[in-house]
Amino acid sequence: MRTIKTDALVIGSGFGAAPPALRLAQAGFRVIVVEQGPAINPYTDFKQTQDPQYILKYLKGMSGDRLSVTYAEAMGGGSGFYEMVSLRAPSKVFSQVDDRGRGLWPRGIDRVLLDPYYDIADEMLRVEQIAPELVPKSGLVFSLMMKNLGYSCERVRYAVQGCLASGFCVTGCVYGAKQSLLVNYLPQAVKAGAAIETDLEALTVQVVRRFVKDGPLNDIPYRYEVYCRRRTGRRERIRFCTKLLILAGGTIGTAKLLLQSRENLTSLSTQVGRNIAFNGSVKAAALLPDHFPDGDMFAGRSHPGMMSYHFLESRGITISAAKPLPLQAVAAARLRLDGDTRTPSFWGAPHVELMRQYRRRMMVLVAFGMTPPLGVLEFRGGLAFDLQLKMTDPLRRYFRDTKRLLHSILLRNGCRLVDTEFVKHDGASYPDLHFSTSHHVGSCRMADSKARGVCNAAGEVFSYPGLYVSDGAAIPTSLAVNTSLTILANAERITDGILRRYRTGGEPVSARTEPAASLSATPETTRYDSIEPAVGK
Amino acid sequence: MATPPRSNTGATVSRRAALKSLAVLAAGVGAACTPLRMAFRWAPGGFDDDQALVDRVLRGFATAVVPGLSVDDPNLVRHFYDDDYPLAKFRGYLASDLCQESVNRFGTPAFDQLPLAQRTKIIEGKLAKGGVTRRLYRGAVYLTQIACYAGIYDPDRGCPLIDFDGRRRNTSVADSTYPMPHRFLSHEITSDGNPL
Ligand SMILES: Cc1cc2nc3c(=O)[nH]c(=O)nc-3n(C[C@H](O)[C@H](O)[C@H](O)COP(=O)(O)OP(=O)(O)OC[C@H]3O[C@@H](n4cnc5c(N)ncnc54)[C@H](O)[C@@H]3O)c2cc1C
Repeated sequence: MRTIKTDALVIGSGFGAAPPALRLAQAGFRVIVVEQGPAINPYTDFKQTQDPQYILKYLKGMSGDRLSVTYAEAMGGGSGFYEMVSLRAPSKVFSQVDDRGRGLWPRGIDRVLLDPYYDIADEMLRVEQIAPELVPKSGLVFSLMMKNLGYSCERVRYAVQGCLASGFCVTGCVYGAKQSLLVNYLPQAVKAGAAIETDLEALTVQVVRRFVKDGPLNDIPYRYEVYCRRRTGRRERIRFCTKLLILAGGTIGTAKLLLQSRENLTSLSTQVGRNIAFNGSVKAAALLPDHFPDGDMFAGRSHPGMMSYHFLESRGITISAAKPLPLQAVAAARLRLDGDTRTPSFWGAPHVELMRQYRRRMMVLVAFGMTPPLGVLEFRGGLAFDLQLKMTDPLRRYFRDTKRLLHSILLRNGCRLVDTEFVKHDGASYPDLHFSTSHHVGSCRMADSKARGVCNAAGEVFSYPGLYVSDGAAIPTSLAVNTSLTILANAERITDGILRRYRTGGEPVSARTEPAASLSATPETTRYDSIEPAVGK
Repeated sequence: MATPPRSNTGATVSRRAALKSLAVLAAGVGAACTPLRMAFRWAPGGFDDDQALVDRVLRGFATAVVPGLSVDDPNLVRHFYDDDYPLAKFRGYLASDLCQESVNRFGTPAFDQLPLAQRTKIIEGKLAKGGVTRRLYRGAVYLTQIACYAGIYDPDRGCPLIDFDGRRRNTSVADSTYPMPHRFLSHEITSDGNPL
């Protein structure tokens, strides 16, 4: 087994990983990024296809009876495949409390504190509000529905430049318009000296304490060893020895790694894997009435451009439309026209009739809400994990009331409801109400004490100096909007804290951003400056 | 002419034994976490010998699940032959089971020759059964819908039946929106799209 020494090892290469990778490399640290998914060249590797083999190469899922989550495993994490919605979390989000009235965010973290970091994130991803002339038809029709009812509706902000409206954002942008991390943070990090290793999975973390006077963090000992295995070829094993370890494997990936390492990290909080928030995602569908103009599920960017904050104050939810491509729609749910008693219902002639109207006449609404963090990832030994959601009466009420509101918006516009029954991987329907999301956060949340969370407000894991969580896992609550920008901003904040603590000279973070356009296109795996001859076996 | 399922040695496979094998394998479903992976991984014998027959029967099945598709579509039943999907191992069994049920219900093994309503009845009957039979048919219906509606084997063509035009060529932003969008827009309560 090879051993490689470094100052900072970053696990994952998504939104939580990109800021530490870039900023620490820019500050002169030796940085290695370990990504278990494949490398991606954003200019050649993406495809406009619905082929599940292609999609499942990058997008993975995990399901329990009441909750299923989708996430990416690839260089850039979710950024290559996301819908580019880049919104700040509403102020209200930061004052969420648990059932005993205690704040869920660590003291001091709120929108005001995050705003400067959101600014950096916006600048790096070149986030802009969509112009009215670019809003896809389905978004305009949704907006019209809200307008008809006197509800406000906003044009959404996206990380995209020169969008061609092809409608395949979720399979990766073949035009290079999406401002994924593959075109800004990661190539900049490589340029600054970071190495990105792909197809390499971190398996366990172990504590060491070895003083070696080397690198810019001269007086800091090597504190963690991370054992990794290559997922391709000969399954090479590598041991990394690092002074700082930053976990950014995503809400599921980071929790898995810590749970798998618990035997070695015996002082970890008992909260690892718990408190997963799932953004209260509730969906409803309907057919548009004849007097409405057509929507279009397939053309225009994947996210339809509009979101309403009208119910944010009163109910803690936001509402937008959605445009699932056929694969997403058919693989996720059985659609059946409400009140259609013909059999068979979810296949055969009645189903085809409905699907023929899918593209232009179907409207899908999605609400995101501040639901409590009740998801739990449990380690079953070996490689087995379970995802569970504690169902409570308030959560059932939330689901019912939110669905009712979505239905009421559709019905008051004259729509005919479409029943959406969510299905498992084998086509069977879920036994109870079911939440599905790609906005899950919080499995290793920041908190004011070890009893309530896994890391402190600085992202540092309780009892483990130099070990940080900087991704979605650290975010303690549902955000009521899409998650990526908040994860990115929070990772910038955490990295700023690391730099303040360990800085060896250099400028403040905000001064070091480079516009994406000036960067080399393709991140590549680079040489290590710090490779040591193999030690041990 | 269809025959009941046979083992490789020519002996008729007992239906119970076949289902038992399926049950054991279907129990492994839990391991798969992605939405499209199904667990049926058992290959029946016999029917696989007559590829043309199997193909015809499966086409009869697919056009009952998604009526309106052309029975001659070259990609119509490709998912049953694709080793990336677990149902590839069961296409022979599925075909033979459909023919057997066709005999039981309508006195002819030629499932593919039955009118749509009768083919539909047969599939409905199978889905109404419990346990492994339902799982197999549910999986077959599910994968057929996915393969056909999403046009997974022809990204350029998509699925004309539902107006899914597949991969975009010469995309035009103008086609994806409406002129004079302000007609549609509601009042905004933020200055930049970010919630306060
Ligand atoms: C299809 C889709 C569309 C989305 N659209 C939007 C959107 O429009 N707007 C928005 O805000 N959000 C969106 N999201 C959500 C957003 O992508 C996620 O919130 C975000 O990616 C999470 O960032 P993260 O850093 O926590 O984890 P990720 O981005 O998931 O990155 C984690 C990375 O770590 C790697 N990893 C995990 N474990 C290990 C290990 N042990 N060793 C090595 N590597 C490991 C993973 O392979 C992965 O690449 C979308 C998500 C999906 C799936």
